[in-house]
Amino acid sequence: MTSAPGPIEVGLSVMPEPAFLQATLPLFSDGLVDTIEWSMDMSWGGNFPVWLEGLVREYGAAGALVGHGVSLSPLSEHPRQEQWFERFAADVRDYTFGAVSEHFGFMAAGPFHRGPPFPVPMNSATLATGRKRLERLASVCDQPVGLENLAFAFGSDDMWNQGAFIDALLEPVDGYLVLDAHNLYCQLHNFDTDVDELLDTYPLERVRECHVSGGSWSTSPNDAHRRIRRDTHDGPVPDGALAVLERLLARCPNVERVIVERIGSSLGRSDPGEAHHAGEQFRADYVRTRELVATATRATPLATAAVSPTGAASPVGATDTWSPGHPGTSTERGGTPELAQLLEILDTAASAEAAISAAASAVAGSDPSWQRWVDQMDPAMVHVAQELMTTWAVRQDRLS
Amino acid sequence: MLPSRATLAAMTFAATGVVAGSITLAAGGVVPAAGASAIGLLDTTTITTPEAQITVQNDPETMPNAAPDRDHPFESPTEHLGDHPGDHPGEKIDVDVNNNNFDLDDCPACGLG
Repeated sequence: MTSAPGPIEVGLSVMPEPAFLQATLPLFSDGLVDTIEWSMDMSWGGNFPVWLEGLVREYGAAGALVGHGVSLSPLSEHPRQEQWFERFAADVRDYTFGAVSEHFGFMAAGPFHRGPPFPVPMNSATLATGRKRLERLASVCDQPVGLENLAFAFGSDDMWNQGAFIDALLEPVDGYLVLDAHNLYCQLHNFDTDVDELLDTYPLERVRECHVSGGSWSTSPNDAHRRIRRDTHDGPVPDGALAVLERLLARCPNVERVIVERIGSSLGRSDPGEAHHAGEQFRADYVRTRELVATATRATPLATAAVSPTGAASPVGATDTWSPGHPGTSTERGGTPELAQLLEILDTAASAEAAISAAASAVAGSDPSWQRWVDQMDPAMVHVAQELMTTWAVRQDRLS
Repeated sequence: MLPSRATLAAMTFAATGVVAGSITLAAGGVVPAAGASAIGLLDTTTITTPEAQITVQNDPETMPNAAPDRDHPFESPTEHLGDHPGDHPGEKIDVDVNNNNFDLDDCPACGLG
């Protein structure tokens, strides 16, 4: 991955909702969408309108389609993943993907089939699980595969260690990193961190794709003055996220595309005037992103050759035994039972503090990597995790 | 990249309820409630959906660069036609895309609301 920087394409993450189509049609009509990203597994439930299928086919035929899975849960093991790979294999036969990525983290464990993506304890066991998923993803699609950095972190260790762990996950498949500027923006705010210091922890040479989007704010229940930034894709792109994107382009020499994201339902408010305004706003965000990409200072391979997450010292101790050169210990656990237990705790605990206490009790005296992981949990972030579970978690044994 | 005319037509078809140019209903065809539309880019395009096959003919003399009215996406002739599908097979219907305040009483096919 040391080729000279080429032109960067700018595109959209396509959504099936009519409001998304209404908002973005002028962009397509004006030839401003170089490439599209399609979350194919979000269409498996039948939400795949004719116009979107036509678009996916046409961009695929032009070599301008990338897939972006949402629900695989790459860092856990779950029986439903077999069906996921079967459906994905069918899509690979039907459509022409130039590359396919998924998200760092896990959502499926035990009775929880779906939910928000959460970080995992970064140890050798979860590394092995994630590598198996990525190797299978690569074998099914026979195209480059990637992982996107996660916005949510239970604590600052999750943030500092994610980049190097992703590098280790991607190494066997020589995968690429989807670096999401808004996800980084969330972490910069939530943990009061410097952008370059955080970027130092990522394998920037692996970045082939960047994302940018908007989001929203949550308030900490224990501190009304502390706001938590969330990657909800339902608002305008903040200037701060574009500033992060500008830094990414300045430091990542192999970026091939930048994808602008917004969930379709956020553009279809009940008030037509509001929907009209949201559509205009999203188009303006897209055009602003295109202009930034066109004028940004680009990194060169030489300028970033020294950047390596494996050599970067994390500001907060990243001493887990998974790190390159350290194979880990046989006592490390990355198993789905433990992850399912964590989801159960988040789903049922009366408060964030109660959740952390229960998690600490569950891992006491066992795997040190799990104990360290629970120790770093921030109550305000755990509270957000509980909100996310309430909104998104699908529990098989509660389905009617 | 610029999607093909057919793809853009299908997208416009789904996005708006405003019709540009003329629509010829296929015999026995059904115009779905979402409506059909063609923007100024179109000359003649056949749009196939699960519900209907519609030929859209645009007249660049009278409909140049017509933009759909997004404030009223479904107050359209084709939404009206979708209420009683099959009543107008084979008819050619001229619709003014610039009429952003389409009144159902103005249905060019039957004048019914």
